[in-house]
Amino acid sequence: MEPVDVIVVGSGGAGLLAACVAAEMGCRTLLVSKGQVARSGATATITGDTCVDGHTAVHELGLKADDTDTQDAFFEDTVVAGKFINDRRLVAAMVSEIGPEVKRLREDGLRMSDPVLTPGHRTARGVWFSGMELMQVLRKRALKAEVKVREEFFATDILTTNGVVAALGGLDLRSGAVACIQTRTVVIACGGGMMVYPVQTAPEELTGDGYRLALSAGAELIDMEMVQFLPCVLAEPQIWRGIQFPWLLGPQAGVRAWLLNRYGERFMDRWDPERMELSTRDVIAIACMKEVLEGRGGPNGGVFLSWAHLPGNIIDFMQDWSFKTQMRGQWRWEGFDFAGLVEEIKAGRAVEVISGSHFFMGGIAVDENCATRVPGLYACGEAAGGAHGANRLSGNAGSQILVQGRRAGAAAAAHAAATGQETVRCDSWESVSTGLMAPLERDGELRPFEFRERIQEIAQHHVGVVRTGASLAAAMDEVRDLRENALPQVSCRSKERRYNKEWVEAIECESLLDTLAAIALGADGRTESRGAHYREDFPTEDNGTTPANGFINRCNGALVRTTRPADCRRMACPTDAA
Amino acid sequence: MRLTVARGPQESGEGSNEQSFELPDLSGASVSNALQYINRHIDGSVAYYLSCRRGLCACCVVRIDGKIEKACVVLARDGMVLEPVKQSLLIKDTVVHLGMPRTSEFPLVDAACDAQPSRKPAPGVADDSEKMCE
Repeated sequence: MEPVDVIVVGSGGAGLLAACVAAEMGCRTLLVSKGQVARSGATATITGDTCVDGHTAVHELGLKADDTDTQDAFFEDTVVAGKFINDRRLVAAMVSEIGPEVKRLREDGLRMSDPVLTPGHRTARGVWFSGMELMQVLRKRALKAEVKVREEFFATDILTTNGVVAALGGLDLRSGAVACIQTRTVVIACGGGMMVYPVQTAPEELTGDGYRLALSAGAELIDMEMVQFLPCVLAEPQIWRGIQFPWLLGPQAGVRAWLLNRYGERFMDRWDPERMELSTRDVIAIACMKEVLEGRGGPNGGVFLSWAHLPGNIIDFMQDWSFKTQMRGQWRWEGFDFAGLVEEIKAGRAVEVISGSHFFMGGIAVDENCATRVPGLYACGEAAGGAHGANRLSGNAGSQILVQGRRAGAAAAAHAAATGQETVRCDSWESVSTGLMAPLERDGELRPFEFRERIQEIAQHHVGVVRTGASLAAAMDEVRDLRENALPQVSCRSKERRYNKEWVEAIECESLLDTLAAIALGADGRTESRGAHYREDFPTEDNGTTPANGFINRCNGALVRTTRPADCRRMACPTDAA
Repeated sequence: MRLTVARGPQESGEGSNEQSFELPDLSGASVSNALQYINRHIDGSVAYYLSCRRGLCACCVVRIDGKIEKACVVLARDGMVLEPVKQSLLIKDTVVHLGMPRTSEFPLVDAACDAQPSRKPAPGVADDSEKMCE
């Protein structure tokens, strides 16, 4: 058999690119994915923008953009939006390397169109291309580079020996095997933990598995309290739950819709009187949730988005200048036909909208080469935290995943070439495999989906868009109870080994719990409001000293949090003292 | 609401059966929502694939009353019959393989068992828990 040099976990944009780069550098590279390659992960849901500075867009990509825009301006907008706690090293890499990355994709045949302007960017930077098409281009590259794959393999644990990566363990869904694969390096690229919340814009598989993997190896997480919610997604019917069509037809890229509470008040004037509904997503999500919490929301726990002040032909005209390639003259968005909804909107009906969990700015702590503090362990894409600070701008996710995908793949390949393979300790693997088998073998009372529903309820009520010290203390109590009393009861009703989805969901319970615990601990420790993290008991930014990043790691079985001041060398942080 | 779902392949490796399920009226639910409901509330052995929930990844594709559709963007209706789109791509029940070519698949057994001989095969599973010890 052939040993493996690099295992990449996750097959979205970041993971596919990391695997391609490692394989092109001569490494025996294995790509494992909980889903199917190039057809899973949050990259699939990129229906639009990936940010490149205007100058590079004009001169390197031949697109129509603002030639006077610079990488420095892109850097500044990103750090200002991130409320000054972004890891500047990650931002610098992102703004300078995304241009060449997009250029390579274009050379490989990826279709793209001129950048669009989105909130928070001073000029149009969002180069428009589809995530699915991006993944198809990268899939071809991966085939050419002879990347090996194992699809529907759920990576759950990183086994270390003497503190160094030695193997990856997990469940092979299709065969039902609990398996351990020796490797020198692992790149975690399996995205965020949006499924912790009951409404998400993200795909099903994003259950925070990357955080659990990182914690299992001894790596740190950064700023996990920074969860981005996308305001203005649909609440119902169930088939449309979490779909962001109203946001796109309105604040994100469409015509100027108004956010109204149950009294018809345009409440954004209390939060951002200048930008109103064009404010950043963090502000809008908080404003909407405050309306709801203070009793001014709609019947489904949301607020209303209204286009009633606009003539109907203005709305129709939008198809000619926005989403030209996507909508093709119809109100088809993603897989749905919204013509009926648009007719209702033009007739003056407001749409009740809620916030869905959309993106994790926090994640695995990495340096500019995507290395964690564990030798041999790397993280990239949404799984890695720090690039976006306290709030991510639209289009910066695409930039992050591509730049970090390349960096992580290259760094892992270089590390694999320079180090030997550690042996795997028998007792470590025994303990991992026993844990994976447990939900299948035991006959407890709790079904995996019931555990998930409890997690989502706690997340929504205690660590959601609006938080308080009391709600966070309650969340941490609940987490303790879930870990001690509920998790050991989670059992599969079906005992089949092959393709047992219930078994996958049972193992995901632990990822979800780790994710919820980290968010709660991070949010409890951050006694201020900053970006996406809003605390009613500390409603303003604390700029008395340099703002800090919060780090979480597992120590003797328990999660602990420490802080370090943000590195403000390239772009100073505003402080009250200054 | 009654849904009929193709089951298979059987343990023998050949043939498939159909099984009908009685669901409550899931108003506004997609076919994927309904399959997930069956798996979670009625029979945990029913396989389904669901990722993006909006018709992009296409992995949830099934044959609904003979017509190929993405299950996540079609409303569930009483009496639907769900089958895999193609038997040659079948993984289990209605789940089919649409990812990388099978030739690029990494052989799990070979990879894991080289370091150590200690193996514990599980009933009915070819490649199972590998132990690697120092």
